[in-house]
Amino acid sequence: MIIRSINSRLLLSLTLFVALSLGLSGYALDRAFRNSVETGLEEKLKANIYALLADTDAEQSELIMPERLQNPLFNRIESGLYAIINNQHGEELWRSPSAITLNSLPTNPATTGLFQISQPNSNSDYYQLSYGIIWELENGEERHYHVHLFQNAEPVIAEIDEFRTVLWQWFGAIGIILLLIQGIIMRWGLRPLRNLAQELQAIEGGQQEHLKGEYPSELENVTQNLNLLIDNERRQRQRYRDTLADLAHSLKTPLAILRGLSTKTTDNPKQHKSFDEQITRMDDIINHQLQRANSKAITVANTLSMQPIALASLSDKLLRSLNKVYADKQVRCESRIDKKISLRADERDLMEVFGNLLDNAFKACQHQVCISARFSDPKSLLICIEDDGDGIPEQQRQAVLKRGNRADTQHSGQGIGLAVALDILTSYQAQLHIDKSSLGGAKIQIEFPSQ
Amino acid sequence: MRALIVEDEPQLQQQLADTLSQSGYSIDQASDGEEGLYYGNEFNYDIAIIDLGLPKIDGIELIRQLRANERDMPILILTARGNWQDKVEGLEAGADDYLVKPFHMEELLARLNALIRRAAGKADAAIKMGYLLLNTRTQQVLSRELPVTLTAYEYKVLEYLMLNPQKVISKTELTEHIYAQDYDRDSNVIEVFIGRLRKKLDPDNLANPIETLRGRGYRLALSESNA
Repeated sequence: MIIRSINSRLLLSLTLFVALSLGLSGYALDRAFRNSVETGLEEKLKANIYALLADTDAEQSELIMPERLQNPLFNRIESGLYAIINNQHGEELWRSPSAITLNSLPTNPATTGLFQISQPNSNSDYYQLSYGIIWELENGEERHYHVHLFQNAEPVIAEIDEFRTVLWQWFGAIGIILLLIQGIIMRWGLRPLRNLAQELQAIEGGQQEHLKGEYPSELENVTQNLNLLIDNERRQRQRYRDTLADLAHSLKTPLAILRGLSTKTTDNPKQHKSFDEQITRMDDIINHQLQRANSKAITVANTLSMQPIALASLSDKLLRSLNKVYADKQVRCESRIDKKISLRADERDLMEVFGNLLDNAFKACQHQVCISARFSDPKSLLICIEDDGDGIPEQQRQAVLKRGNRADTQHSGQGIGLAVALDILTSYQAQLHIDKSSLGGAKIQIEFPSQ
Repeated sequence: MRALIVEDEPQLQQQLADTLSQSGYSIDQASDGEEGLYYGNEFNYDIAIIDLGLPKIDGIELIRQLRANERDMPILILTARGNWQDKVEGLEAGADDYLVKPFHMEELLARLNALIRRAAGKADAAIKMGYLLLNTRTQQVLSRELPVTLTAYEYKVLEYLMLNPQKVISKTELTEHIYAQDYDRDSNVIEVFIGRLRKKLDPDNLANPIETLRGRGYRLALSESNA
């Protein structure tokens, strides 16, 4: 599984780190406390063995123990501290008054001069400290005794359990506090990235043109470069367009002069026609090549530098203009485009596409033109331009679209506008279909893929 | 008709001027936006032809300023690039039609004609007033269905009167629309043209189609009828 969010990655890794370090520390503290309690107990039992031995006496071959021992816990029945002295064969010679009511207690053989402690286990509920001694009698004879002390484990384990409960309660609370602090640090630390994402969204949404916020030094380079990139892209596109416009101006004006001259310089209608045809051809080639150059500029365009264009206002502008140009025709035009519908594209390109298509419709119509837009499944935008003219016969539709590839062979009419529109639409991966409109004329359908 | 041509390319400007003069227009020529603005503001024109790529003040700004100064003559824009952004910008700024270079002079004349007619509220090239029929495209005049031969200036006077029916037109206004700005004007010549027109259009002196309103000017007294 790949976690795509930096936030989730940091949160997950820091949570694991906090849990692991608190768990290990807790375990270590728990062990240390248990060891310290058990060492303390061992020391206490050792002191008790020494005290017991101080009360012990052996006369002739007998072990003599006083009735009352110094440590009152040995004297009180079932006090929790018990003593047993065995001979070297493991036979019990004496037990403290506290252990009188108890059944036999399992004893381990002891090594002389060494303290041996054993933990409570499934057979025994006691800590047991064993010590082997050699008692030298007056006659020089040696007796081996094994002294065993038993400490009831219950209070010791209860103490350790209580410590453990308190320890984990504290560690739980510390863990929660650490996670909260970690969350706050992450929100604060990642805020510049969140701001950057919001600003980029605003640029994509067309609400702002550049990254404006102040960013930490680590991000400053990135944001400056992004701004430069956006600016350069815009400037380059503008420069490209200006160059094309200049080129058009510097080529078209001489052509216009040539056309004027051709009328004056020859009275021969054939020659005049030939002049005119060549000028028209040159004009078409220039138009076609300029359009191609323009389309290429779009394919390298960076969508960040393109603003969403409101389709309704663009179509209104065009309809107002065309109504002026075709005022004599008194065209009834209807625009059914929701104001919220917008397209991320270069405004000039959209103007060119819809200008050409609507101009064709105005030319071809009797009295009525209609433009509409709606979202179709799956979220692609469908735009229709219809008129009540003669329409494009079915057998010519494909040919009209194919001719778009070679605008230099075209003659004026429906073809050129369609060819220009098609060229631009292709660079936006949009589709164009020709159909018959319910109004009677042509229906041009454009489908833009979802953006 | 009086036309203003604003075009920075001298050869094209001259071709336009020649074509329009031959078609009976009186012409003023400007080579940049500033000059165009001066002419446009100072004189009354029936039509203006403005190139979009002009030095000093570009074509769109020029149109905007003329419209802001309430100059309401029809404007035809000439554009080299022919892209819709430029056309729409020009039309939104106040132009009435556009022509993409290189254009045929015949098409230019047809567009100018249509714009002038439209400005006068006429949809058709043929204007019918009473017993007079004037075709702005062919420049033919019929009186009681018989052709009338007019000189270029007589035609200009009649066309202007017929495009502004029932309106009192002063001698100065008429002179301005018939002669180029740098022409030596003599308002007495207008009286001569009017006199000749009356004779040609109403030889029997029955209908009196052109009224003289003393001290104010002339008025075409015929009413509009369907062509």
